[in-house]
Amino acid sequence: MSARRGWLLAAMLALLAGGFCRPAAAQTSELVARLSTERVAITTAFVGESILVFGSTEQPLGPGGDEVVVMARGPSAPFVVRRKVRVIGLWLNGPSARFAAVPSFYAIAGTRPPWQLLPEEARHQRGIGIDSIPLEFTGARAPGFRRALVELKRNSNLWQEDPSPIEIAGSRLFNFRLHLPSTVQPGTYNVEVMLVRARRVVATEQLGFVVERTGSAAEIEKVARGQPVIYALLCILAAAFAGWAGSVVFRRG
Amino acid sequence: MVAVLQIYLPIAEMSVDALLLVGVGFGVGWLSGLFGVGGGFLLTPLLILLGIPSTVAVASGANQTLGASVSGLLAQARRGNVDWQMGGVLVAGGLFGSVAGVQLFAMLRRLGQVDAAVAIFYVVVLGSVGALMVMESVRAIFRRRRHGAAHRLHNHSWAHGLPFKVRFRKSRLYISVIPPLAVGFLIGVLSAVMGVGGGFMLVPAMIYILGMPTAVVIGTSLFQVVCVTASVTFLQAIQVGGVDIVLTLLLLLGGVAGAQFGAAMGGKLRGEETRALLGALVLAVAASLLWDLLRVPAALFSVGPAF
Amino acid sequence: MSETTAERARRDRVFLVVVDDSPERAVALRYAALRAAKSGGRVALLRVVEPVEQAEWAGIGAMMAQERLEEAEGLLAGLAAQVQAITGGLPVLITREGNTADQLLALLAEDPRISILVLAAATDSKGPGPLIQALTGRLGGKMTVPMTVVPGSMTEAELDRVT
Repeated sequence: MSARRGWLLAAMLALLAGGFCRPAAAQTSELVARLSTERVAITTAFVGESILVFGSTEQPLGPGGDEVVVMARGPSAPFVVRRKVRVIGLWLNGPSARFAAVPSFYAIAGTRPPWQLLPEEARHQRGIGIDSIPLEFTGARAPGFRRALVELKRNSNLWQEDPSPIEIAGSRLFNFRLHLPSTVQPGTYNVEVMLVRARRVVATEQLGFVVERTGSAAEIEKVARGQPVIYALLCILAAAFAGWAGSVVFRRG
Repeated sequence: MVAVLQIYLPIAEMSVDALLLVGVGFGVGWLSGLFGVGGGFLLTPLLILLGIPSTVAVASGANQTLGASVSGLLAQARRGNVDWQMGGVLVAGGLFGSVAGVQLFAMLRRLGQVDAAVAIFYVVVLGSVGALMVMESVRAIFRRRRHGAAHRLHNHSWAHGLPFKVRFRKSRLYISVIPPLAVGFLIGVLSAVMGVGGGFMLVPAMIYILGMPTAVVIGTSLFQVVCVTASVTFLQAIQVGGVDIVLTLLLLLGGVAGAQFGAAMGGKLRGEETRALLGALVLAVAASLLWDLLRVPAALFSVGPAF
Repeated sequence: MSETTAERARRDRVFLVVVDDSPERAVALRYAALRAAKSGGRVALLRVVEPVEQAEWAGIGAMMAQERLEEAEGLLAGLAAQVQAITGGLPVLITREGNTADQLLALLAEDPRISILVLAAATDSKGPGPLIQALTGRLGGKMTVPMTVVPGSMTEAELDRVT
């Protein structure tokens, strides 16, 4: 464990040193941040992935000094939340609420919990914290629907709030492990690194990575969505052929 | 790691144990070979009970049934046991039925009721089929070896009054095309909503309602099943997007092997007791689906992608 | 004394014809009938029906078996009339369910009255037919009676001449 951490630190330092060796521009910035990878491949054996967010600041980090907040967001998609109701003894889906844009992934972390670092207004404005995620919805108005959505996202680890604090190394270096569960959706992910000084965000760095499916499963999915007619015909032919061939292979005698 | 072969289903968007699916296919195929049943009526609910989404279970179940029926149809056609003319009329009705069934399915999905609707369809159909099977077997056990066990109901005189009469040479029938069209349509709807072939209801309907000779019934019903499940596969794939070819092929791999073993055993094992067991199994699947509808759900809220 | 036993044996001998769906079955049937009529004996007709494949419902399976058996009996009754026209007597009609070769051998083992099996060979280039192939090859050792193979191409006049 400690050996791995030491290796990581060395890698960070090497990368940052590389960054600092470049002429002028980087040296004057208050905040420099990078991701350990910019591409996550969902293969058939995908069990999740963790990405390292790391960087350095000009001023020392920690109590009394600057603080860092990391916010990651996955692609948004519409979702429907339904409540089951009892109809003549059977539990059927009843009223529903439609959420137009729900981030499929969300994570927030800070060198200290973000709610201690920033005033509520600023957090709402920047969407910092699960409570601040803008969730417009139509349909049933009861508050239970939003709560159910949040609960489900939190339970499946797709929405994370302060999973662990951002670690500080040597007062100016910071690093944070962003854990992507196996159920992450493909798409473009944004990572925003914010430098907080005196309860204000003074500098930000926008980073990003792409999650994409690879391998034969991804190819099949692509054909099924892109050319459904061809896919449908292929399914018919494949099933018919497999059934015929199988009966020839397995015929006894 | 545990010795499981996890495989990612591209359309169901979930990782499953490939060997488990091949095993399920084998088991259902074995039963279908043993009892001469299609097997789709067991496969789709088993997939749902395993956690495969209803939309994928139904569409892939239909696709699997297509594959599982092809070789049977070829064998029957080679022996000249298919009434292509009657089959054509049934298929025409079946194609309309599958279109209507897939529309119904897509509408239910928009309303968020597809899981419950599929379960209700299964509870009703499997409940009645299972009950009839158990009753038939019990009656046969008590009155073993009596003669003339089955009788045709030659009271379809109402059908003689209908227009558009056609002569079906192979079936030695001169009847209106309306009853076969209606039978094909209804089976097509059930096939689309439940992901089955429908031979269970089609074969008795062909004998008792249409009055076809039994020699051509199996072959002709397989013709209808192959055509209608192909149509359901096509429509489900382009309209609902639930056909998972990886799932289908895994199930077929086990299914065709199981069917051959089952058929080989079927010759030796013809007891009414085993048929009663199949009926009991069908009833158990229906009861488990019914229980899921009746009990207070663990989570009152469900979240799903919007369409 | 020995004369009468031989005479009775001639009268009681049975020519067995397997009724399949081949065109040459008429030749075998005619040959057996002519032999019985001219030199004494009776004709037996065996029709083996395929066992019913498993059907969705046991009742329908039973109905299929029954209809198949009735169809076989109808077919044999029609052929029996042809035999009667030649021999003057009604043939023995036997229907069995299962594999043709197996059922035939089982019948020969059960019924000692059957003395000759009459089969007609197919005339096409694919061989004499599956039954003759099986009985002269793989199952040849299990035969318990002599077998007459009639060329399927023989005409009625030729059959008359050789019987």
